Amino acid sequence: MDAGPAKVRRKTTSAPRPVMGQVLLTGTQLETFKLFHRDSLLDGALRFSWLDPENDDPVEMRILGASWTASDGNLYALSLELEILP
Amino acid sequence: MTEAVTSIDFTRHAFASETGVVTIFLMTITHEGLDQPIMVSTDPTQRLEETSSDVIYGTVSRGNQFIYLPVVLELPSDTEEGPKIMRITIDNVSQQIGSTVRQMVGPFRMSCEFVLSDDTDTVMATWPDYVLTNVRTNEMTVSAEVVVDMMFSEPFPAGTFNPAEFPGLF
Repeated sequence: MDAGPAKVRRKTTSAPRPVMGQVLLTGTQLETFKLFHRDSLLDGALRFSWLDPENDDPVEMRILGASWTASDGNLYALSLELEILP
Repeated sequence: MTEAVTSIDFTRHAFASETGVVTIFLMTITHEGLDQPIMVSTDPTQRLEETSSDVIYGTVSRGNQFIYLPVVLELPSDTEEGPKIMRITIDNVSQQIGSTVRQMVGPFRMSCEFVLSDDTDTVMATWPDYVLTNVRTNEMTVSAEVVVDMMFSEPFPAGTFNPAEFPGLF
C-alpha cells in the first residue's frame, strides 16, 4: 500500500559503504594510477587496501568509477567513486 | 517435511515497522558423491576466510560455515492447476559449484532453514527434505527445480510382469 509510513528493514547484515573522493595528481601520477587501475586491479574488479578517509583506519576498497579533468597548471583532478568493503 | 513453526521472536521482527534484524536462509545441499555438503547462506554476516585474491563472506550457525552466495528463490505460485514448481538460482561466478554439479550423477537433496541475524544458532524453521531436479548451469548461475520427493508419485508395484522385463512369459 502506498500510504502511511514505510515498513523498513535491512536486506543484509553487512553492506559496502559508498565513498566519493577527489585528489590532485601530476601527469606522471595519473599515468601510474591508470596502470594500477587497469593492470593491478583488473579495471576495478579487485579490491585494494587504503585508509578510511574518516578515521585513517586501514580498510579494503573497490573502485566503482574514476574520471579526471585537467586542473590548474599541469595538474589533473581525479574523481573517485569508491566503496569500503565489509 | 515438517511444518514451519515460527517463534515469537521471528513474528515480532516480521511484523515490526522497523527492524535491524535480518532473516537469513541457510541451505544445505547434499549428494552421495560429495565428501561434504554445499552450505549456502543468503547473508554476508561475517568474513569466513581471507585469501590473497578473495574474501569469502558467510554465516556461522551451530559451528557450521555457510558461504554467502546471491540466491534467487522463485516460490511456487498458487494456481487452479495446483502449485507450480519452486526454482532456486545460485550465483556461479567462481564456476566451482557449476563444475561440481556437472560431475555428479543422481539427485541432489537440499534442506532449508532460516535463522535471525541476532542469533544465528537458533533455527526458526526447517524444511528438511527437498530434491533438486532439472539442474542447469551456465557461466553465471546454477539453477534447479526444487521439489518434494513424493512417495505417492512412485510407480507401484515396483515390478510388473510385462514383455520387456519377463519375455519368457509371453
